[in-house]
Amino acid sequence: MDSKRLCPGCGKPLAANVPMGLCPECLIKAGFPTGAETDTGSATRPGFAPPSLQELAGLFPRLEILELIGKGGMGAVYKVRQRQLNRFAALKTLPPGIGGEPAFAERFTREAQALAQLSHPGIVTLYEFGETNGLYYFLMEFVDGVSLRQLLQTSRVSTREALAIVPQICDALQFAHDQGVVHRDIKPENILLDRRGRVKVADFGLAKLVGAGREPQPAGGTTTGSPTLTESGKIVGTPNYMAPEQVEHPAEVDHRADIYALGVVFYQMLTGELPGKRIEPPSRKVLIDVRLDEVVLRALEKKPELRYQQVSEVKTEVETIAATSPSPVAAPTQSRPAIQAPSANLNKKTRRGAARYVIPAACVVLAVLGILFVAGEAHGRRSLHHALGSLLKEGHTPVIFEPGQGRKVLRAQPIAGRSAPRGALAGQSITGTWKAEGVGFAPWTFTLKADGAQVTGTVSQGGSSGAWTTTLTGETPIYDGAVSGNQVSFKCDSPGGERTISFSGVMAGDVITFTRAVKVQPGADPGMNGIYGASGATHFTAKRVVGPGSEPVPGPRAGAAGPAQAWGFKRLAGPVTELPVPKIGDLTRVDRNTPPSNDDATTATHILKTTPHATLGNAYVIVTDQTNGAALGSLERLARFHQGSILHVANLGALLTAAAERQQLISDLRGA
Amino acid sequence: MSTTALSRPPSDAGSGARGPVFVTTQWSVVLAAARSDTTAAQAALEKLCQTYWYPLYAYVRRRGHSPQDAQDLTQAFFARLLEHHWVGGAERDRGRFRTFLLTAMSRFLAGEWDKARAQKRGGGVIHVPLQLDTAETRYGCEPADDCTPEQCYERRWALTLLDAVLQRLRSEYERAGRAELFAGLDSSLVGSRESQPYAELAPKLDMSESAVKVAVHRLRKRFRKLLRAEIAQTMAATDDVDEELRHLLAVLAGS
Repeated sequence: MDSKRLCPGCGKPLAANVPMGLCPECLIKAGFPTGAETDTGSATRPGFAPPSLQELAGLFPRLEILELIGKGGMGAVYKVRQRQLNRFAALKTLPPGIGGEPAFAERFTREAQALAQLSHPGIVTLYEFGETNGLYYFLMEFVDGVSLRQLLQTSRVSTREALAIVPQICDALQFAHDQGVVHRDIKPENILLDRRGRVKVADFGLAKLVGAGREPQPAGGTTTGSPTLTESGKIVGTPNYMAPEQVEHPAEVDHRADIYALGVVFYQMLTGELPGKRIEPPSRKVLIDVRLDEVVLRALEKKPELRYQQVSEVKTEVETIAATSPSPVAAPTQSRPAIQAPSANLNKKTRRGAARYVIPAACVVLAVLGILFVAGEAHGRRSLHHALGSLLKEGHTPVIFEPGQGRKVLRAQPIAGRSAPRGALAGQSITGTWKAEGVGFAPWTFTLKADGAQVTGTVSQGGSSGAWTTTLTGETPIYDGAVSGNQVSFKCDSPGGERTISFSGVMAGDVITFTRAVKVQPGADPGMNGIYGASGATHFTAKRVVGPGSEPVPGPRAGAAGPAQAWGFKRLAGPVTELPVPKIGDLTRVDRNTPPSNDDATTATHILKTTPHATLGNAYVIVTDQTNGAALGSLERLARFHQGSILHVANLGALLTAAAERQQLISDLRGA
Repeated sequence: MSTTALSRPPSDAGSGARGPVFVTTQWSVVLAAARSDTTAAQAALEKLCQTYWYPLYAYVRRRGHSPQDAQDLTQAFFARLLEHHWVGGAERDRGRFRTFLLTAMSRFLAGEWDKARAQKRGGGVIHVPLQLDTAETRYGCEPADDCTPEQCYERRWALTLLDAVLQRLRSEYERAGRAELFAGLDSSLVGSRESQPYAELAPKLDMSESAVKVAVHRLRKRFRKLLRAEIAQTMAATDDVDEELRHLLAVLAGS
């Protein structure tokens, strides 16, 4: 038996029937446009060999050629020392053969002179330019630091740093635009940061200059001998960062193309990724101020006229957001609200994925009742706890999943709603405290008062998604109360009023047999019938616990002053965003133990459509009034799907640094 | 060493990632002509069936039918499909030929078609050669797995697609007299461009390393183009090739 061959690309074993002996997965991956692959930055273009150090030393006697720093489609860059001035400089050589066109020399001179006018602290200064032995070159300021590309590759750029870098880029760009110079190739490789954290934009106008000098090559091209810069011989800049108009009508590009490229870079700094075909707002990927979404998305508008028209506008927006952004809820490591320039020592790649979360007050998230799925990264622990803590203080209650135990904690909050006509049940023998049991219910207690019902207890349900338990506390006004003989009936509303729940019961001594029916208001979304389970009538019995007129069972919210409030689950006030819903196949792939079902996807979609929810960056907080076990099970599977962004809160314990912290958090959440 | 321009295969329409030229994909032609049995639509449908019949055969076999029955059923299905141009029913799956075919076949097997009048083997006239007699041999070579018939179909579809594209790519190189180049470089289609063993390939192919790099770059680019074009052929005008690629990747990764 042959041993399994492994694919050299991905390392997986190759099955016997793979096409041409090649790994099918890798082949499919090769089908994505190159932008979708990992951006390797200045990938080498085939067929272009930069001059050797000796060669250059011969050509530039006044320079000491030290080392090759970088190589890209635009040429090669060397670190050199100007002997006389005794300072470092960067020597950039354009690819040989570029000066083929006769008018190139003249254009080169003109362009270079325009570039030399760009004297600005944020722009890499041009010292000299020229041509020697057919080799065109620039001598520029040497920036002792790193490029943004290097930063992005080694460690995440924090939001704070991004907000400090972008305005500096804007300054440089605006200066250049005012001089009539468009960069045309803004990308992380061209954004340098020196040791003091100052931004310097490099390679201004080079794209146009170098592009102007290229002859179009025939499609076949040649191999060695004359370098091809791109397959078709045209310089087009770096595709990922190019504005759409730059791709389609390169001749008509104006300064707004730089704004687009800046948007891409900004997006990349914030999220670590390039924007895909459908741009996902950054605040959904990382924990940032949602106002930044607008800035980034507007910069990334496909049509130039919809973008910012001036780079300085971007700067203003960003600085405003940065100045007004952080909230007291921010993690302790980030207590300073002022935005500072990134710290020195950028050359040392010491920061490892130090994403610092800013939880601004402006963020949409104030979840009230939520199923909290939280991102797990070691450094996120503290901010997570603080976020949860503040949510609690503001009166919100998340739900915790603890898989395996299937346990959820839910607290109903009083909300404004229909208030009951006072005394609907006044003086009736039915008032008092009852304990209800029935199909699907573990014992729960409700107290019927003259004008309202107060519920405490747990509701449990077994089921395919696992047994779960919900602890309830809340009050609701009841109305239309009537007691006649041994018959009793009353109604209450679901929060929001879409559903009317009617109770009718027959009292026999100290036991009432209730029938509960749900009626959906016309036009209202039936939803997944929250606390009342599936629609339709259900039955349960209640036994008297305490005699009529007794004190209501004390709960965390007992004795609320003011008019009776409808109870239930507070809805999120404010804009909501939807989570992307996985397709069935995805669910299958993630959780093989749960067979895929149409129901999961449908249920999840339905829930997310009918319930408000929002994201807290990496923590998805869903506000829902669902306690239906099947619905919650689907959401749980949804959570599992987002494993990259979501962890079950059962792992929360593992995230928090100390057992005591965890205990405190859990008990906070339970309202104990 | 110079290369000659490689000739474009006739079906290379709608190849650009951004181009709006999908109007002429085979599947969209078929869909557009759903009501009238135009020659172009017929030809397009035949072409599609000719490429993608095998995943269907695998599906039928995985559904539990014997080799003989599977051959009969596949034969009959395609005969009916091509004869009556039965595209109208699958409204939901119109977007992709892949899904349409599966739905149509599962309906066919469920007897929703008029099975009583299905053509028996040797009875109907199909213009599309299906190589059904070799189908079982091919099926027998498949690695055993416990996927559902649908998963089996999806996976075979992906592999068939890749096979077709690779064959086409190879024949392009052969027609240009570069068969050995292709043979030497085909492994460079997998993995990233940076990770290719250029230094080792160069002496084997008697080319300089930078020439190898250029050749590999061209090969990969051509492959990508053909792959995307072939996928586009099976889709209607407005669909997203990238999405289909992701689906195929998921299918292959999951098995």
